[in-house]
Amino acid sequence: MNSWTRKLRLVASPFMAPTLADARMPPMRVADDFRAFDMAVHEDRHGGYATPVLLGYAQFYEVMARVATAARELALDAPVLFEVARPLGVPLPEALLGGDVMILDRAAHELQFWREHAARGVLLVRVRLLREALDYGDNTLELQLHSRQHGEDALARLVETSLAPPAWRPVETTPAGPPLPARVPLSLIPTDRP
Amino acid sequence: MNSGNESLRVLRLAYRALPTPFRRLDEPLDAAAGEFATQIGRDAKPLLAAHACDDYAIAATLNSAAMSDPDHGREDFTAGVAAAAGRAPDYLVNVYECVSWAMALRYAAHKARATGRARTLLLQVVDADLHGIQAAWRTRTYGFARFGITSLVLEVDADGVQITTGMAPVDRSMMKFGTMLRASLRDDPGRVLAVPFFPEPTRSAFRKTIPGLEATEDLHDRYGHCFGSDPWIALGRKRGGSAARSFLLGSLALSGYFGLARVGVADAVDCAVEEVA
Repeated sequence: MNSWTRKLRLVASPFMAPTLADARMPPMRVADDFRAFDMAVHEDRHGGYATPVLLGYAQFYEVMARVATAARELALDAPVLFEVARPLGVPLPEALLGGDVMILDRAAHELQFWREHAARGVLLVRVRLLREALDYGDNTLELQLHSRQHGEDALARLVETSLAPPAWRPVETTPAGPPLPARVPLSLIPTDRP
Repeated sequence: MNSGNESLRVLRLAYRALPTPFRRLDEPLDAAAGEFATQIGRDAKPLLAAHACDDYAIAATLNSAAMSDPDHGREDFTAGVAAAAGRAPDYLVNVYECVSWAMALRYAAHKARATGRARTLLLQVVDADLHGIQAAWRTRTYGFARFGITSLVLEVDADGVQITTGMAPVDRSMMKFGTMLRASLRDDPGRVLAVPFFPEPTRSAFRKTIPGLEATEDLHDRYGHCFGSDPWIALGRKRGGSAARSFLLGSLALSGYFGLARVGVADAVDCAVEEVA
C-alpha cells in the first residue's frame, strides 16, 4: 500500500463572509443559549474560557465537504475518515452525511483497520479547529492517503481541487514535497474581519 | 418475522440514568470527565467480558472538549474508560448529535462488508452534562432532558443491514422524519417503531406523522428526552412486555439529521432498562 501525507496550515480565511450555514441557527440556540453552548464547548481544563468562535465551524465543514467530494475521484472503498475534535456549532452539510464519510474524534485505530482491510485504499483527514478567529495559522488539515491503486501521489490533485492555495499552505509533505514555507506573522495575515 | 433473519441484531441492551447536572459547580472539569469515563467503562466491562467484541465505539450528542479534544483531555478520557472497561474505545462519534448511534452502526456495517463477515460491536450511547448547560436541560421541542448511558452489544452482518440517514431543514425535519418512517415500513410491515420521546404538543404533532403504525409508547413523562438513547430505551421497555422481535429504530437530531435502522432482538436477549421516577 502506497502512502502520502500532507499537512496544510490555514494562513487566511478562504471565505470572504460567513456562509449561509453559519447563519443557520437551530431554534434552541437563541442568544443566551447560544452563549452557554459556546462557553461550554470552549471551557478549558482549568475552568477558564477562551474566546469562543462558532462562526467558522461551518466554513470548516464546507472545506471538509469539498475534500470529501474530491475524494470520490480517488475511488477508494473505505469511507473518508475525518478526525474532528470540536464538531459542535452548526449543521453539517449534506455531503458529509453520506456513507462514504465517517467523522470521528480519534481515527488512529480506524485508520489501522482500513489500512489492513481496504481493497483499494483509505483517506484520513485530521481537522484541527482552534478558537481564535484571527489566528488562522494554527488551524491545520492533515491528509493521509493510503492506496493500493495509486502509483503516484494523488493527494496533490485532491489538495489542488478542494483547497484554495492562497489560504492553505503545505507545511509538511511526505514522502517528498515542496520546502516548508516560513510562518506568516499573524499581523500580516489578511482577514475578512475588521 | 423472526429476529434470526435480521442483519442487525441486539445481543444485549442496558440503560441507566445519570444525574443532572453530572458535575457539581465546585468540581474541576477534569475530575467530572474522569468520573464519567469511569462510569462508561464500568458499564462496558461485563459486556466486553461476555462477548467477543470486534469493535468498541461510543456515540454521544452533547460532547465536551474534555472528551474529544486532544489538547483538552481526550486521551485522559479514553484512558479513563479503558482503565474501568479493560479496553479502550476505538473511537467516539458525536458530530451527528442524536443520530450518532445510527452513523456508528452504518460504519460498523461498512467494516463488516470489508472483512466479509459479521462483526460484534459494543456501542455505548452516552450523555452527561459536564458543563451545566441549562439550555439543554429543557427545550420547547424536546422537553426536559435526562442524561444516561445505554450500552448495546450488536451483531452486524456483512450484508443486508438497512440503515437510512439523511437530513432536512430544521423547521421541516420532523415531518421528513415521519415520512421516512412511513416509507420504510411500507414494504416491510410488521415492525414496531421505536422512536424519540417528546413532550406535548410536540408528541401529538409527531405522532400525526406516523398514523396507524405500531409504535412504542412515548415515555417522555417518565424518562424525558434522552438524546440518542430514546429509541433504545423504547425498544428495551417494549421487549419487557411483549413478544416483539423486529423493530425500526429512529432518531432525529436538533440540526435536522435523521437515522433509521432495522433491528432484530432475539427472545433470550436481556434488555435491562432502569426504572426512573
